[in-house]
Amino acid sequence: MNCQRFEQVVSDLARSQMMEADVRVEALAHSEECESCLARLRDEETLTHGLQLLAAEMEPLAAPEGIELKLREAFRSRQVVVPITKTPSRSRYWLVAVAAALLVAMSVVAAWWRSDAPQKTVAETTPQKPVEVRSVPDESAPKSVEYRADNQAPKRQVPKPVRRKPVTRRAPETPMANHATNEIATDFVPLGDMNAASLQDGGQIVRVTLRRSSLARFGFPVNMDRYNENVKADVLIGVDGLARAIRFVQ
Amino acid sequence: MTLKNELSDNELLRLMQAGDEEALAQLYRRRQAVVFRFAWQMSGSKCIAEDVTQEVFLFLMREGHVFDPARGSLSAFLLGVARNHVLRRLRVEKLLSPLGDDYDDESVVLPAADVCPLDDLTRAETIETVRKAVLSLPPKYREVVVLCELQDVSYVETAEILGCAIGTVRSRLHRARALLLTKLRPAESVAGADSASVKSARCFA
Repeated sequence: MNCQRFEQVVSDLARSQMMEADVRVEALAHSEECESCLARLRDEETLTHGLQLLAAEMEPLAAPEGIELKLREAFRSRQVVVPITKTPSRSRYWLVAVAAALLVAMSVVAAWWRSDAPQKTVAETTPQKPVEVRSVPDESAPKSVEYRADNQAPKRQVPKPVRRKPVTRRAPETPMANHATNEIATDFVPLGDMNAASLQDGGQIVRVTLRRSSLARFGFPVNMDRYNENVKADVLIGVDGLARAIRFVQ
Repeated sequence: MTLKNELSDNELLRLMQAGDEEALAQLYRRRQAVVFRFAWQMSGSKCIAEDVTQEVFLFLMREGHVFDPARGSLSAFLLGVARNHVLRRLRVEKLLSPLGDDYDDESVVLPAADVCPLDDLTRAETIETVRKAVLSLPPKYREVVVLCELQDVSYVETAEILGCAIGTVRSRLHRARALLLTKLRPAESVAGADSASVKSARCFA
């Protein structure tokens, strides 16, 4: 072992730290041969002794008993404080519960409102006459659609998208008397005297069933093989109760 | 009480957090001396040591949940908290005098001796001299000496307390001991060094 290596282990040697036996033997042997390293080892041992004396001197020291009493008091006061600090958290729980109840109530109202929403949709009419659908009755009953005509620029009124119910839910129950479904309709054919003024106060569209032979009366071609079958038609009825126009639906 | 004596630190801490005052008392009696001595040896002030001891256990009452047994012992945790409080107090009170590597100010000089400079001193003088020498060390070296030499804490635990590697602890301790030896240098050596420096100064002048 040389002096440099001895310097690395001299502290552990003086402090009697655990080290490899071979290293310890070599270090001690080197200190016997090298005077400076021996003096170095003696200094380290002296320092270790001094530190051990200091440690032993301070070993019995302990904190005053008053600190324990203060800590106990603080601990008790903290225990008292705990329920107080818990109060806000309880109120928070109540707030959360109330908020959850409100949310549930709003969800129920929204679901109830949406169940009515599919009845409010657009009834497409001829390009010249915009039609707004107000309500759609059950399929078994004649379909009644409120009609409004406007002399001004035709304006299609579309309900808010958020209020529209997905078509897949209610579509089977509410087939529309308009082109919202897959029906194909002819243009309205006037019945007698019809003008915009007569439709100014609105009207209704009523779904009816007619003999296919009646198509001929309005100038539509009739397949004689299906002469006895029925066809669907929408009759536009004015506020005065008179039929104003008719269209055939397939 | 007898049962609480047999409980581990972690179990006592758990009971204390559940509101058991006796668990706190037991934990305090078990660990207060280590904390108190560490704070005193680091600061050299009994008042600071008392304040720090109280603060450490108040912190344990308030923030005991931050202790993770997987990262080390509760004793090491308390010493780490104590270290932070001591350093903060020393910073506030400006008791720290920054010492560089080349510090040679107000060295505590031991009486001259050929072989063992401490042999001629009485025990009390030795202790006082070493205590002052330790207190004169820079904090990062002082804390290693206090933990490894005076508190007999292992290198591993010291590394946990200081939040550094074991190799860092070893190297700091080695350096700290060298600084202490320089501080405890025999008076004649110091006087000789001083006269030599004066002579060289005169020569250069």
